Amino acid sequence: MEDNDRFVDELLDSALAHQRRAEPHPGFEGRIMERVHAAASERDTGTNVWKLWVAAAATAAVVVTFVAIYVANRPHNPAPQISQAENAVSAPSPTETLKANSDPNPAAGAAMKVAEPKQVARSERKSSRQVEAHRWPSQFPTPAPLTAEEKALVQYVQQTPPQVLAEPNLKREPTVQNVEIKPLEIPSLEIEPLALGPTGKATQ
Amino acid sequence: MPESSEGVLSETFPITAASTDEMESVVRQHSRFVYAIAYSVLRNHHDAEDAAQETFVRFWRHRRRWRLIRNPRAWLARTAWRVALDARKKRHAQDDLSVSLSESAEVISQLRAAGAPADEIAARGEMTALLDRLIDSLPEELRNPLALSLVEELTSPEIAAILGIPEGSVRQRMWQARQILKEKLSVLLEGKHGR
Repeated sequence: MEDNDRFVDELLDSALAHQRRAEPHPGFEGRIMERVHAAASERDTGTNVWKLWVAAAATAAVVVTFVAIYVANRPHNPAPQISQAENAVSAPSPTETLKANSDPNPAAGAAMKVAEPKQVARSERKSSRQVEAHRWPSQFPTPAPLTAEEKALVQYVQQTPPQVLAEPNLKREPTVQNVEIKPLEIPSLEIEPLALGPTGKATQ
Repeated sequence: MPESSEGVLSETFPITAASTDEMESVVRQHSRFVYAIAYSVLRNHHDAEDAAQETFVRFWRHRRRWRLIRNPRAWLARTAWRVALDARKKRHAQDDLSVSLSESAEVISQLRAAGAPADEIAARGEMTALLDRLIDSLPEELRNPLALSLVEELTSPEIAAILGIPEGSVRQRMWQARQILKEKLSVLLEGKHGR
């Protein structure tokens, strides 16, 4: 029994010691470094691809920004749109005014005059602002900004046909042809003769 | 413990000649140690080498934080231990128990009857297989300290650090594990010897 115990002890110690002597095969360090280099190159490739994607994205963002700036600031002539839009806000068109004035129902005409500019103003206010925001000044430096009255006058003159501009003048003021010029009546002068007094001086 | 392993590694983390040199130096110093830890768990040359290589690859990928590693040897030991345990779990799923305990015990009994010394029997493949099976059958809390004790370079405090248990517990569990192995081996050999 003791022999068996001793044998098992020796056998176990020897077996465990044998396991402690486990050594890697020759060239183990070289294989480790090869595997490390392979892993490093894999990661480097991944990193490079990632860098390329970042560079491409940055380039695309710069290009898009420049295009957006160019599109926003490119020169164009929005004058007709502005005058049309502002016309709805500031001054009713002369033709509309004439129509309203000639309407047989004055109440309806007045209602139209009040309601229409508001509706037009709501619908076109936004576009008018957009147009003004992107307007490129035709003259630089620009002259002093016109007052609202001046703008209204300019628009009125630009938008009104010449016949309409002329019509009220014909009605309100007489033309040169209709004026009757009466001849001037100048009474003739009467000069009385001088009469000498006793002192020799003239008396009236 | 090698002197250089206590030092702080340089802060190089890009792939430079310096970092490669440093990596080669670490591999030269600790490759056998890492292999021994992996082998103590896996008890297979091929699997142990794979686990050791994976450990060093992880160390290389960790190079951004090399400066934070105060003791590369301990870091490598813990990593090798975890890598080997993972590999062991995967291997056990596809393990075939082709060598039975009784067959191995019978061969050993025959050798003993023939008068072969214990050293010679211990070097046999049958004895290695039998010991592997017996160690595998141990409870995990006993198997882990015993497996790490098979690594010559590891001290009890280092084993305790790897396992996260007190040093006294390491010694106690190692003694318990050895007792269980001895009992099982005795039973196996007596059964075959007594035939």
